[in-house]
Amino acid sequence: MDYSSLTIQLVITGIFLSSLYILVTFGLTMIFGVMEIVNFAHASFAIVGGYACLMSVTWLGLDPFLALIPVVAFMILIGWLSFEFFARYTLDVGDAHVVHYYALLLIISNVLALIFGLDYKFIPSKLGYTQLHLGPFKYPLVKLIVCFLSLATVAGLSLFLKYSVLGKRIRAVSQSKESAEIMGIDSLKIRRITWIIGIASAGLMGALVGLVNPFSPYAGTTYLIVAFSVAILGGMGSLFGTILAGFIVGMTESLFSLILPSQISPVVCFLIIIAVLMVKPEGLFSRA
Amino acid sequence: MVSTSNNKKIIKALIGVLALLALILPVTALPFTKYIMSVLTFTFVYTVLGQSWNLLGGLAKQFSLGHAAFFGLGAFVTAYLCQTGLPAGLALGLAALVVAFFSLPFGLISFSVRGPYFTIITLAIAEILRTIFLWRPELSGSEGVVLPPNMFSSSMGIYYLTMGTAAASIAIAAWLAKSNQGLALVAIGDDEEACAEIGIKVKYVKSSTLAISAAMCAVAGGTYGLFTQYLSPNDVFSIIYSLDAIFISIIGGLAQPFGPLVGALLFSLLEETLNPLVPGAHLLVLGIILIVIMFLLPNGLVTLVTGSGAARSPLKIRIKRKQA
Repeated sequence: MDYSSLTIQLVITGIFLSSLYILVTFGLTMIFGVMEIVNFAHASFAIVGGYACLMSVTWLGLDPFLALIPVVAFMILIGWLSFEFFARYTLDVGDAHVVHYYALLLIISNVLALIFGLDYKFIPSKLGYTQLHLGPFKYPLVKLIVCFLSLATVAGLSLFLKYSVLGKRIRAVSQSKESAEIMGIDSLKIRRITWIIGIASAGLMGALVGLVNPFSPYAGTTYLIVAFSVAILGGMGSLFGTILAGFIVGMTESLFSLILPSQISPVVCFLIIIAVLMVKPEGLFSRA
Repeated sequence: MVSTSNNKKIIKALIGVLALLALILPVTALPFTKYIMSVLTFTFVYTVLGQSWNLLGGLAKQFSLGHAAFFGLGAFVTAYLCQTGLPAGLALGLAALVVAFFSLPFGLISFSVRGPYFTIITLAIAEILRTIFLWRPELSGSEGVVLPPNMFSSSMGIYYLTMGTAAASIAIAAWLAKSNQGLALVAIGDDEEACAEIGIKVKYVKSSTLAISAAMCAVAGGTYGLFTQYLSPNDVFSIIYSLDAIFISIIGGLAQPFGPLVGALLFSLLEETLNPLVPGAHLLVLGIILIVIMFLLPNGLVTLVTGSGAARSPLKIRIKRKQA
């Protein structure tokens, strides 16, 4: 393979990575915008989604892509439960909430470890290693479908937030809780819905990741750090910024894999976090 | 008031007896002496680790997730110096100094942001160090570093060393909490802008405390290395140590000098009893305990005995004491 087709291959991989990063960050940044909570347990919910998908495939014998429907339903339930029994009590504890959510991360990942063990798991799919050939390029079909599904979800959520009444209410609360309440919006209800959407999208992302990469109960931290770098780059709470930042981070990671040894590629994410926070703490594309 | 002061006397007597027991433990011939000693050694290392976090996290409410950086650096610098043939005690002291200097750029970067952003940036710095140490074989690589035998290689030597560092860390924390700097830290934790306006040098107070905290954390890392005699970047730079520090401080009591000791005791107890039964179960139990304590006893277990009210901040208590 010559150099230019390798670059194109890397660009496709970049788009694929970006789509997943955007999906996981979408929920994180939405929750931050509306609830002012940095959900350190966000990526753990993604891993819960991965295991839910694995269970529907191995126990119920569903096709992995069909299994995404029960997974999302299950994650909505998990989201509702975690809001009613946990998140709503952390709304007024201030900066200390990071500790609550780290404790939640520990609880989730260790419950998963107790149930499923520490081995890396992989969601089997009928497509297996089928490659899609397009002229000189070939790419695994599963990855393309996963990429399409996550981009479609992000697009759907964006349209929902932009045009539906509920979406407008969510954006109103994220702009100003007090003004929204004066206008008769039940902010607790909006926060509950936001939280559930965020958790369900994280779970969906986890299931999609499980189709292409093996995962373990503790794998969440890697995605957590990526989600942080995307969210910070895009400006916490800004949805347009998240999408743009997701592409920047995904592309950078993919293209840097050409010149950097693979062990230190995570450093790129960390350096993005630090550089952006020091230069422009409100994020590159924030509304404010 | 009478009952509180009586309670305090009883508690002081109890602490004295326990300290004496801990002091003479190595020369007793109990059936489990060796085992108890190794558990207590870990407890003391954890006490210093928790205390170092507590200086910033407890007093000034700066929730760092990057203390693993200091812990790991302290451990590795101690190991390198030991390999050059320096006596272990000197190596430990020098490592603390080196890491205190390292904390200056760390503070410069991380204190430029606040709240959750501070937490995220400290986490990023610790992870960068872990990746670099894993990557470069000159530093350690994935092979890790072995410490040469030294004066603290005996279980009794390391036991007394860690006990000494734990006691020193408690003394430093108690002194700092009473000093003007401690008051400034508590005030910064309550309202940073207001502090800057009344003329507290916020950056200076935070950075100098971070240097003390980093040096203390390096000592914890160094003694950990001297005890285990083998270091790998994935272990000592692991976010687990940043988390342990937070657990120990919060469970024991934020901004309470004896808090980390209580927290570390409970932590080792859970780790020793639950981990052999079901690996990882102690982390699950810790997570639950942590959430319960954050909601019900925000100032930690220590407040159960000292009786300072859960909802009061240390500053309010101190003002009352000065008026009386």
